Amino acid sequence: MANSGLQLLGYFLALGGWVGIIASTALPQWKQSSYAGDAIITAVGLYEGLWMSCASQSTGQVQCKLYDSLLALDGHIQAARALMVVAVLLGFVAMVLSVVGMKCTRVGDSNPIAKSRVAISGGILFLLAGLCTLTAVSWYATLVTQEFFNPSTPVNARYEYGTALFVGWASAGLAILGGSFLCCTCPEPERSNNSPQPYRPGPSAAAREPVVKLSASAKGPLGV
Amino acid sequence: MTCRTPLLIIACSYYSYCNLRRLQWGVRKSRRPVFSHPQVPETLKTLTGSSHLNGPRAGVCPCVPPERMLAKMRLLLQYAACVFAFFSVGFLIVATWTDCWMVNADDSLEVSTKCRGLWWECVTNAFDGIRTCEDYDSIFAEHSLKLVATRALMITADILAGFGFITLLLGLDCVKFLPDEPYIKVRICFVAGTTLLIAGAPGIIGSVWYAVDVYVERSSLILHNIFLGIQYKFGWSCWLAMAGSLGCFLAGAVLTCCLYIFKGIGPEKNYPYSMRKAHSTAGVSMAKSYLAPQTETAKMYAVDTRV
Repeated sequence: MANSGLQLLGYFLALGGWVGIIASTALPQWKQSSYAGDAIITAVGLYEGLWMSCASQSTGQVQCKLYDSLLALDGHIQAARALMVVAVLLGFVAMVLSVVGMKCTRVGDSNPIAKSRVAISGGILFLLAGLCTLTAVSWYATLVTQEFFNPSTPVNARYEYGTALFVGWASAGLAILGGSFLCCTCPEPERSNNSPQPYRPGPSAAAREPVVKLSASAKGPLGV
Repeated sequence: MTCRTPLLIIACSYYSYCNLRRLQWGVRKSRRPVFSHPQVPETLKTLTGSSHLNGPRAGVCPCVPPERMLAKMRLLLQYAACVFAFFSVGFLIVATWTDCWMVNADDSLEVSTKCRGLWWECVTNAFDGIRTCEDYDSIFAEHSLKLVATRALMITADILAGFGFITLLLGLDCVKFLPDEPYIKVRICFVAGTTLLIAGAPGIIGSVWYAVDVYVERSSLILHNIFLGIQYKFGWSCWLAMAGSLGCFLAGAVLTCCLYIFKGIGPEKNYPYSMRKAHSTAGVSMAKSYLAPQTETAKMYAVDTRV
């Protein structure tokens, strides 16, 4: 039952991560114009996202424009788009799968092994979604950094990390953490269900008991 | 609780109650011992069977008793209500945070789409696709009453509907939350339904208020033959908000009614206790059946260690 709690915790973490992934995909602030150095205080702040570029005027207006051409876009933006969309889709499938597979639901209770496998696959998909997001966001951030420190970039045209990058990192971390929690719960039910059937003889079971005790007793003094 | 329920639900429950009476006329005699003598093994069987409804063995028994059909129907209704609640919560939240509560009518002399929302307004140029958005002035500046009221009402509706949806998730039959106390689960569903019904009210009030206000503005301008160059009609956010609150009403009505389908059997006050007793014994028997493999393996281990 403690297992079930861990699963729930992992699920909610991963769910939060998934929502964050969606948010960071949609946000236009992947990079924003930097005011570092002797940049003059400008009336316009620029930001760019995966889908549009925006200019926020000091009067409070925000102008946004979707990118015109798909094929003329930079490769890294297209790759980041693809990765983020794949992450959102993976997260959706993982969400449905892990609801089915978690112990707190009654779907498919008659087959606990299959159920736990479904939960594991949900966790793995969450992990993959987190990794996709992490790749896309880190790649984009690397490019932004390179461009910033490139001496040929004019000082007042420099960009730095935007909000969406940080949201993306955080949500990737959440998704990976939650997914690994969901995966963590997997081995135990399989072991306890599978082992008694193939191994009937006693010695293995009898031998297993002292090993556990030994390790526990060995751990105690060391830990203290 | 009963006296506070809206009239609609009472009517609905009465209707379902009458239906139930008609449905269960034939089984009345066989049903009575179910609740008075829970130890009868057959009863236990039916009870445990109905609690395992989702398993593959649910449809094995050729003679389907009407209780089971009712339970199935109740489950279906629950899921339908859950889906409705999910979508209406989504609609409400999306409607609150999008910007097309009013949109300029086609008959105005504009080449751009102008959307006004609760929080900002945006103009999208039809030719180059540039979209310019501007926040409204600070909250202390003068706002029309409809704007402030709609904001407050929509946020209230969002929070209530989200709360109702989460409660509903806990009360769903397929979620193992308080599995031994179906009566409490049914109650949770009822609470969720009531919350959704309450949440629908501010949503529909807010969106209809906004819509009526837009309509009145427009018709008064037309009536006085004033032409300001731009005329507004309802945008899709407004429709979404109305749809979301109607969905909330629907989900809430289904939930409260489907509770009453079950509550309508027998006198209300005796029902929970006898039900709880019956189910607690059922729970014990279920626990026993779950324990059985464990005790077997335990025996095996005991034999092993003895050897």
